[in-house]
Amino acid sequence: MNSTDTTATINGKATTLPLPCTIVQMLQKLEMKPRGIAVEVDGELISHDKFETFCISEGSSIEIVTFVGGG
Amino acid sequence: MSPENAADPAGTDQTRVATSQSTLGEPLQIGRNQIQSRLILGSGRYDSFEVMQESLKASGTDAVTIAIRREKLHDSSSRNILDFLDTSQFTLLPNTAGCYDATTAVRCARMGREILKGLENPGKDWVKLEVLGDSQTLLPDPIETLKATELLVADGFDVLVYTSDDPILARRIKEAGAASVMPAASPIGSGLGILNPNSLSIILDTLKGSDPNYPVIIDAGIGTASDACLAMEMGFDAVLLNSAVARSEQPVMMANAMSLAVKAGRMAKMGGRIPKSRFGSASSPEYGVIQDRNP
Repeated sequence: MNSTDTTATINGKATTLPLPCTIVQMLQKLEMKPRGIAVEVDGELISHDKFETFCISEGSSIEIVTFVGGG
Repeated sequence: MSPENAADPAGTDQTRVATSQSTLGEPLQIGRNQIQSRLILGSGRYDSFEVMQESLKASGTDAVTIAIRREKLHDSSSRNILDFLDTSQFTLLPNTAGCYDATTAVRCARMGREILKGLENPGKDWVKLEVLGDSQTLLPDPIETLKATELLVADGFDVLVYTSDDPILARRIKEAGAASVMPAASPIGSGLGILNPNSLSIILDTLKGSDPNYPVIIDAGIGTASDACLAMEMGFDAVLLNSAVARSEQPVMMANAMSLAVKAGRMAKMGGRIPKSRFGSASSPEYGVIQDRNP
């Protein structure tokens, strides 16, 4: 980790992200596509149209969810 | 002339046949969504996505339930269920399975809506609310369920509420603005079928008595096709099931059986069963019986 990195908790795991980091950049680092997911940052649900502009802060708690089979 | 050969100058019989066929094919309106099939099928616990795909096809369903879970990190090779569901064909019905309180269930529902907005799927308008009270029975927590229903309705969701077979709670959930009340036939995944038909029939009477088009759906506990058929014969508008197909020995065949059972049950309900009687009533004429040649 260097001085331009930040640490966030993603799905319960501490993860290092480059700063500044938008949702799109975070997903790129995690090798995830934006289709079929929802992202919540510190309890705030981030709409897809904000993925390119919303910046993650130091120490943020992030949830990334998707669909799985269920009844 | 026997009754079946009697003339029908007014065309009443033909009209009746045409009317019943058209009513049979009527879509079911649930909030802002309409479904054609009266069978809503779950997408969980199949041996593979391919078996799920084939089962959905065999079932004829157009609404598929789906759960929301954390995305696996650093696993770009894992397959996503969305690659196996045609979102232009199915209306996805996200559930809040695994939630044990209203706050978490509402959060989960909003996440599901956000995903579906991105997919431009009509399922974004509805949610299957499931707030569990116990991990062993998987029965719903009535207080948290009612609270979550109120919160989700206020947030603009069409809420399809999984509940127990308690008629009073069912009424309270409808009064809270639920788009559909969905009592369990028996515990989730138990396969025990309809355990309390009396309470379930009271729920139907209570919710549909003065509001016959209000959708009431049986959810959970179905074990085999006769359970689904019975639910429809009782007057439920649809059947929601998952394990009975996914965990059967031949899911594709069972999906087909469930499709036929739901159709048969609906037709039987519309056909109108005969009254039950303690005594026999001959089907063959009592006149003209040949006499014994050696009386």
